[in-house]
Amino acid sequence: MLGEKDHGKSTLLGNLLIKTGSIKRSRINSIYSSNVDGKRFEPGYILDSFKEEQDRGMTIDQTSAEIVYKNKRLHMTDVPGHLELLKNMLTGASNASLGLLVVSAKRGEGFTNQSKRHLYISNLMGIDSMLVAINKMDTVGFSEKAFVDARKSITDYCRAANIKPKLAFVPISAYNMENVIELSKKMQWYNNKPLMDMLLEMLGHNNMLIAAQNGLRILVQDRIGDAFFGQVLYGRVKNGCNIVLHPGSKKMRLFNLKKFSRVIRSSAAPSNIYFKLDSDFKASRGDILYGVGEHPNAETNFNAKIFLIKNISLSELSESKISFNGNYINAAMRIAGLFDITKAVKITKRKNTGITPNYSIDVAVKLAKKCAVEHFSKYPLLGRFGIYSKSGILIGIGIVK
Amino acid sequence: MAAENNLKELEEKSIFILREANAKFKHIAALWSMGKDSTTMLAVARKAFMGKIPFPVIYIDNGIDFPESYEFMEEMAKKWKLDLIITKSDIKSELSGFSCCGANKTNALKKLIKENKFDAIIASIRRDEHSIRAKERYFSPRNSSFKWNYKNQPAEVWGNYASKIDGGSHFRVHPLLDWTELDIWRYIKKEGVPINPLYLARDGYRYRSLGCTHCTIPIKSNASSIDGIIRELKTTKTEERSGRSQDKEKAYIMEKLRSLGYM
Repeated sequence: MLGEKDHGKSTLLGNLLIKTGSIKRSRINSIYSSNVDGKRFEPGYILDSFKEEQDRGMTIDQTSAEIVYKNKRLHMTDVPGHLELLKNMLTGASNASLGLLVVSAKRGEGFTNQSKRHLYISNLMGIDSMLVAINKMDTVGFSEKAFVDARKSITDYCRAANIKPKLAFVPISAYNMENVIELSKKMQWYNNKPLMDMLLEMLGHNNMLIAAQNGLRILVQDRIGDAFFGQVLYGRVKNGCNIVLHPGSKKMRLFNLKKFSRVIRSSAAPSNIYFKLDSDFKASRGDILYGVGEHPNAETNFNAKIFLIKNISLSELSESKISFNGNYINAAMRIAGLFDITKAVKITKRKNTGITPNYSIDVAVKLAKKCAVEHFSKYPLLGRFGIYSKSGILIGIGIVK
Repeated sequence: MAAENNLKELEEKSIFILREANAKFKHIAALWSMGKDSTTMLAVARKAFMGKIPFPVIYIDNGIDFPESYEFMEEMAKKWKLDLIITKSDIKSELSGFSCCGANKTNALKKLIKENKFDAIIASIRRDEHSIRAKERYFSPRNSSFKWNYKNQPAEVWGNYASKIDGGSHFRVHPLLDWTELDIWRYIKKEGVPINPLYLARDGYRYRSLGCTHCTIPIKSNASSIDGIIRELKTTKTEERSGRSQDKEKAYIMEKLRSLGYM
């Protein structure tokens, strides 16, 4: 659940938890009774459970909750809309397979720079379907024109920013639950499905991250004596098969394939396995095993698109590390191009002071040591990385182009 | 079928987190309360590590747990060949709720972590237990005074879990964060995980959530089998921890407990 602060994300999720019966009555009652100090109960309090979040009326950290709707279990994550809390937004968005962007139709709110950032970054992260809830329709008299205008501002933006998420729009009032679970009588001009049915329909079509790839890719997670723990990320591994270890392109045989304590004949992604390799050449944590005849797209130099979550000086960026699947590597990044996300324009002239969260940045990356790297569009799990400061704090994310 | 697939997915994710923690930390241990969640976690860990759990398992003995729990502990420790560390906490009989968990269990754990130089502790919390827990990370740092700095948690993006932090004392690792109470019982049923007998109804009552004898109250129930519990949970209107008296205090007490280092 993405979007600008105060546009109603927590209210929507809070009300969904209540109305779908996904939260026990006794918890709702305890939230009611814990807020007796003069304030009206807000559905958002269910998610905004820190005392400070309730006092300040804002979401500080992401919250995940499970909605059970039409016998489907939906794991929904509410993220903070504030600019300075982008790291918590990334944490929440990094597990998502579908985006739900909440944009307020209220006068003076609308499709803001932060809404643009959330839409653009989630698209960069591989969330290629976006359900847009045009919220607070009650504040604009449920006007069709307000909805059409809001929708146009978003489709215009996507065109200008050259991003092509699959979009669907529903006019709602999260506070009054109009058009959320049932169609609203107040918006008879709207002749499509309510939000939750639209969401189920879009989920059924969205599986970008688990796109079927034929190639075998196994991440080496740990070495245990003369054996290994690994995760099959793509394809199917067979006991006794030949594989190629990257970086290094050494060919070897994988044997004694086990899952739990049993020897198995094969295992398909996603799967955690145990195995041995018949080679003196040591595989180590972070290495990738490939099928014979396949090889990574890059091992040291590649192009990427990155996004930084706060103002970063160029010298800070030059000292950063990147991490693929939990393995940190020093990397040099040369800036090749800048795009202003909020204005949807390329930047040609730039002051040499630093980078802000307004930009997406094309970079040429040079890794300090070899690592198997794939294009994000082909093998997303091996083509995406976190960017960390010298002290180990996340400062951005990137995808391999 | 859908529920079955979901359990497999949850198990794979938990195995990945357990193996990731074991690879990244030097001195790791798991908390075991003999309850359903931490026993399930140990069952998953046995599968992750080919039948033998490679790290010690900590039980904090406050001396006022149920006799059934002590029996269950001895039986399981032998059966699963656990490297069990039992540490005693001092109990003051008049304490209950916040000051009890705060003063007793937490202090005992602090001492143990210091003595054994543990850099990571596996805890079997779940997001659906409490809305504060819904904000947790898989790898969650505690600072030098053992506090959870919940207002500034590290980002967790794409399997990149923080394992080092300036001024930190240790990490809490949460392999069951995505599981629900119902998932736990479905898994126990599917895998035949042994459980503490207190969970099953006797004379119309059972324990739904287990703490010590001082702060746990049984609920009215006729669920005398695991199937019965699963049926009961599908229709219940009350939440899991309503039998825990410490939660009867204000809703944000959990935030306080956790920031103090209570698990």
